Amino acid sequence: MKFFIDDLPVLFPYPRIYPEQYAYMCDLKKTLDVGGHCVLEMPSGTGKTVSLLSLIVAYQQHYPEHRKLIYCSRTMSEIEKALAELKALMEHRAKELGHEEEFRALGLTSRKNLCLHPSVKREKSGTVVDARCRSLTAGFVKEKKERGEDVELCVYHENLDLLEPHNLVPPGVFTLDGLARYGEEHKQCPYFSARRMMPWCNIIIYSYHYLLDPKIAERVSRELSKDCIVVFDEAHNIDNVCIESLSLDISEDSLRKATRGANNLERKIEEMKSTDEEKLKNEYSKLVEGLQEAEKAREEDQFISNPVLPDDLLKEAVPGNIRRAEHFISFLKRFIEYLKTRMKVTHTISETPPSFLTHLKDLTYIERKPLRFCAERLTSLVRTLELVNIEDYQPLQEVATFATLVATYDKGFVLILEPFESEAATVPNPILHFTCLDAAIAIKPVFDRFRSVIITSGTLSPLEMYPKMLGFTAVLQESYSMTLARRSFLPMIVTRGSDQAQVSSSFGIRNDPGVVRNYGSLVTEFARITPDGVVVFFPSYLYMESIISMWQGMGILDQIWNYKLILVETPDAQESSLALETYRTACCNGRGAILFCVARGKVSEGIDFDHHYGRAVICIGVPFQYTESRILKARLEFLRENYRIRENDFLSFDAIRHAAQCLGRVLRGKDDYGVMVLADRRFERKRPQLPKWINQAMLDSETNLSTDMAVSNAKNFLRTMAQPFRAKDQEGISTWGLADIERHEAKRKTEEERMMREEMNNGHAMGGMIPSASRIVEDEYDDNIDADLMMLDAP
Amino acid sequence: MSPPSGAASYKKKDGTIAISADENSVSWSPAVAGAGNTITIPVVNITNLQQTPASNPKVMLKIFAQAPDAPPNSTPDQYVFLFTAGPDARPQADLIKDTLSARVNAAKSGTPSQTPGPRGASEGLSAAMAIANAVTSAATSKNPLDEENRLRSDIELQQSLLRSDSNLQRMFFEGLHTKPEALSSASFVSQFWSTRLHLLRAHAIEQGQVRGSYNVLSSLKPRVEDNVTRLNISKEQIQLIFTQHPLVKRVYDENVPKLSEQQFWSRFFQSRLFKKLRGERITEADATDAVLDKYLRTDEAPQPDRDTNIHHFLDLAANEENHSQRGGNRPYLDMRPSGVDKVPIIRTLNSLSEKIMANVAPADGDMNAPIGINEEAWKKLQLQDLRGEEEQSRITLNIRDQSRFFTHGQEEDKTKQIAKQDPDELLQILRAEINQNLPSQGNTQLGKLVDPGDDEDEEMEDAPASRRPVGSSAALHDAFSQILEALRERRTQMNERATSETYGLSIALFDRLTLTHATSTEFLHQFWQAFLSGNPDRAGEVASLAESLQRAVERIKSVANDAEAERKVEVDRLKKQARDMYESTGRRLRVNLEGVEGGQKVVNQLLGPTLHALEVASTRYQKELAEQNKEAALAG
Repeated sequence: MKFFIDDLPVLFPYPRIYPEQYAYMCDLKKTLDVGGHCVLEMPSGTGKTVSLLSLIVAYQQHYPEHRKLIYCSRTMSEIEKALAELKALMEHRAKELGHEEEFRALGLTSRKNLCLHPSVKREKSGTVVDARCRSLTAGFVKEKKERGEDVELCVYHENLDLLEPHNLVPPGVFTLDGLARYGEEHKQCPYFSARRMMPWCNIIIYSYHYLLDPKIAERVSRELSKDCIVVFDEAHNIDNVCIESLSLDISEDSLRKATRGANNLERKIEEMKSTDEEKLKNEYSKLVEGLQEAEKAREEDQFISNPVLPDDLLKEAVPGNIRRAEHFISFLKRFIEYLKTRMKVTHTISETPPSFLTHLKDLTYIERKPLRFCAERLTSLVRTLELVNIEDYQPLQEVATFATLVATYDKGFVLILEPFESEAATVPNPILHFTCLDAAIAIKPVFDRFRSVIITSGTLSPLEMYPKMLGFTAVLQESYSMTLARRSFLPMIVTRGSDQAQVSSSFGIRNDPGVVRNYGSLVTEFARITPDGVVVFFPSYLYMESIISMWQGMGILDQIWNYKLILVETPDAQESSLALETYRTACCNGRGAILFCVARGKVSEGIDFDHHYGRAVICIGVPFQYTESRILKARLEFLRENYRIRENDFLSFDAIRHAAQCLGRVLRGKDDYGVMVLADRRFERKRPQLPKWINQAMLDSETNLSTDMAVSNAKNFLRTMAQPFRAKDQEGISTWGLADIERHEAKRKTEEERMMREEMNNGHAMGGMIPSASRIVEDEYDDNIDADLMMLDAP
Repeated sequence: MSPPSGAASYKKKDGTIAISADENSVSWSPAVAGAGNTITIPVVNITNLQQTPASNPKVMLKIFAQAPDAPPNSTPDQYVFLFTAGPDARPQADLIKDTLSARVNAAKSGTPSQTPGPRGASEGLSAAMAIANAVTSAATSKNPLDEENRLRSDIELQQSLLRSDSNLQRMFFEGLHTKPEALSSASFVSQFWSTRLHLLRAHAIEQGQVRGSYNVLSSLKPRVEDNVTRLNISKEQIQLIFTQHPLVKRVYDENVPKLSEQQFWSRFFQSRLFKKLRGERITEADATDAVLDKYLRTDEAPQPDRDTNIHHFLDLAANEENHSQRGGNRPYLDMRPSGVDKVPIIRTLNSLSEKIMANVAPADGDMNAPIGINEEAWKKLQLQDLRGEEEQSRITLNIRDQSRFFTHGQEEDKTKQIAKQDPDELLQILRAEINQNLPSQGNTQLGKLVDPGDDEDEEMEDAPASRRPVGSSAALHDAFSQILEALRERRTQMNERATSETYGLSIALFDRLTLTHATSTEFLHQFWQAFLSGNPDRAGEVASLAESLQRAVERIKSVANDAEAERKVEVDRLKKQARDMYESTGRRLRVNLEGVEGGQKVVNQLLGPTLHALEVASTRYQKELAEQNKEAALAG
């Protein structure tokens, strides 16, 4: 279907459109026109991705700027889905326009997921794949080969050199799968094809990390121009990704390995001195000139990446005391020894980077400045030494990264040293957490650099939280409600079990046999009445494990077996994938299955349970983060002091966004239906924090139910849903045809004109109208929300 | 396709070698009757085939055959056929050889589907199973004709279908009793089923449906009786345990002669092994068992194949590896899963479910197939309710020889007529007509075009319907009344009364009527099949079927008569009632005799179409018979 938003012709790959999709596209266009960032909350399963892509592709193709789109998503599954949607969209466009547009879109994921090399791709761990790949593709390896040495090269990578560098793959949209297949056919490396083709792509789809993680952002995303459109899809968790990209842990074990790595390096340096001293000298002189020069030498074959590279760092010369290789190694060793002594404490220590640096200087005379260059200096050294098996130096690299980070940032970080794993533990197992507390640090360069950043997801409530946490101003923030011709999903809050006793996952009563039994009977009942698939989310792995064991003892699982097959998310991702396959097979087969998984776990991100794959989703307990965690405590404190976000507000915001995310998994399209059960008494008070589209669909009478009432409600609901529902029934209400859009536009225009006239009449014509798009949102925390409502039920 | 055959000489006598229609035997018959015996070699007996090479001008086929009951060391019989069809000899021989070798291979590999031998009932059962399997699993598609043959010969299946469908059963036996003598029961049965293959297929599939397996260990509940814990398990349950837990099978295998069956099971259900298989944690307090505890450490399930390809949309492992340099602090304690050893139940749940689903075709495609987004995956991504109307996926029916449906004469006449006309002239006429009827740029009243109407003379109405011009008011009127008529008829048929009641007939009579109707239809069907087959061999059959058509008419008549008698009783009863009334009260009761339903009229009305059909069939038969007799007389 083709329609116009203002002057922009949009080709939408369906003959109908949801009203919220249309509204979403209009708002998106406004934001792009004005320039600036926006936060858009679009109900799950209403085709957010396809609307976004249709509009932006239309925008790209219509206006002469041809702004590039960088589309970031969370997981590979979602990247693949977006690429598939884009591919379908472009096919539709080609059909409508009658010709194929000159257009390229590629996705990028890790080497592990794209590798074709017969032996490298069999490696289990992603870091090993990375390392082995580098050892087969690095520039110096090739040089060696040219010199006639017997080294192995990757034929897939070598073949790329035979192709035109700007035309490694033909124009078009390639899914990750498609790219891998193309690579296999033409014997070329999909990973490097995609990486090298990035500058020539109209659309790039990859993981957040490629923009947020300074370690890779610098290299992968360097050439992106300022007017790129950046989209963070499924961005409800973006703050955690930001934090993750700048945090790391160091254990006693990794320090031991780092020492070993340093010793190895030392030996290698000695070896090189005796054989090829020239190289070391060359390196030295390069380092004098500064990192900028060193930078030029490397492209993608960089061995160890640098966490942060501020501009000044690039221009400066590397400090003299670490310029010589052997000096640098002894410097590193000294630093590692210092860390080892710090590990030998018996009580928890929490300190800021400056205090850490002071202590470090007092004890070892290590200055801040050389520390900052650590990561980069190590990279240079490893390259000079032409090391191949660099996975052995991983722990050493971690230490160097830590050194650089701790010396670069003063604020927004904290060091936490925990000697014991848990309160109860008696054997020390010290861990040094270097934790980023401020999500804004990692994302700041993105907001600074790009004109339009779009943050969107199915669950972003409360919207004002995101600009505040990430430190930006939004020109537009909007939450769309869901237009429905029939009530196609049934959200309910179950607060009591069938014996009227309250159910909750709060720490006081979560292992109470009564509560566990009530949860068990809730799940059994829903397994009984729901057709096909049921998904149950638990707040944490630990709780899931204990509750399943208890259910087994109580015979509850035996009861569930009567109705459904039972599958569980396990720590092993591959095993979980197989379980997921079985689950889907059982749903399709009519046997029906129930899947137990964790609200913040692997399954909750990126796996959809649409249609019969999920007719009911049950959220057992509020998925709060564990508040005894020191890292979390530090972050809460930081948020309160710097962004005036209260602890309880943040905790409940965080829990609800994950719960809502779980609920949203079961919907895809308006012909889909599903029951959503939030089973915890504390949900009743948290209802206002749910996304608008869920909250609106929930009746007041359904916020305080017992198991029996919920089950009978759900039964009724499922019976209603079983009635035939034709596409015609929702036409004009929850789906629009072209005529509906035109009607809507006409109505909006007359409304606008009327407003204009009224303004004129009121004599306000002078000021003119404030264009709605440039509505600047007050970046002030809304304190009016009833404190009681937001109160966290103290765990 | 007709079975392959070719001219070939055997022992220097000319003849024809042919493969039988069911491809179960190859036979050679001499060209001149009496010039030797016909040779028939069943395919199952053929042990080898030899053919002269393509370069050799002589085309010969040598068949080695050995009867299955022949002594093992006896030399097989050899038959040499020399193909004599000149240039066609080679292709004929090739065709026969290829067909035969395919059949022989099939027979050797022992696929029952290919050799519907005289194994009868046991075979029948397997046919049902095979079909069910073919339908439920994603097995390779089989030749549908084979399947039909199997259904047809599957007596067990047919009887079970008859048992389950009493109406069909009655019809079957009624037909069997009233069938003409000339028709053997076997051929009646095969005729009967040939039109009901779909029912047989549906029944076979229905029978093939079995309840999926379930987690058997969780369904076993011991109960306490007189202070003794008892547990009953059935044979099926034991079987299920063995399939779901191969380990138990092994343990059973290795120990049961030593232990008694009962002992084994009672010890098993109290053992640690049982707890382990159920996924429960084993505690110190659990009783030990010298025999069964040995197996505690054996891992039951082999590690799942790690090389399976999981679809990208579901691949959690790839999601974790999406970003290889993932930093971040490790999750807090409660988000770190503890080892599988601590919570064995989780792995047990998954592996059990996987085992139960193991023999179901996976929903997301074959895991061992190469990864790739297929059509299905695309469809799943789409928002279904935003999509347009589904494209009709109809199969175009191509009729090769359409001329059969038209009488030849007409066709030719028309072609001739058209051929005679001058195209220029025709075009002129056409233009003139368009100019006249569509004077101004196509702006004209449609009604006028369709019904040139009022100005036309009314005389036309009297013209026979076929002569009236299309669109004249008279023709429209006719059409209108026909539609109304059809509507009326339809309404009576749809009328609830019509379906719920029996049109005034007694229930017994009505049942007889429906049965008569069904059998008549059945005979009609068989008649036409035989009649239209044009097979001279079936002439006798046709004759007997024609007779049975006559009998069908008679049966209908007898039903009608009985109905009339029944109605008469009712009418008499009413009259008598009226008379009694008159006698007792002196009032004359008007009896609405027309209101009494049923009787001959109703029967004739209901079976009108059938009677008509029977009549048509009979006349056609008589006519054809007369003609043939005439021809025969002429020829003679």
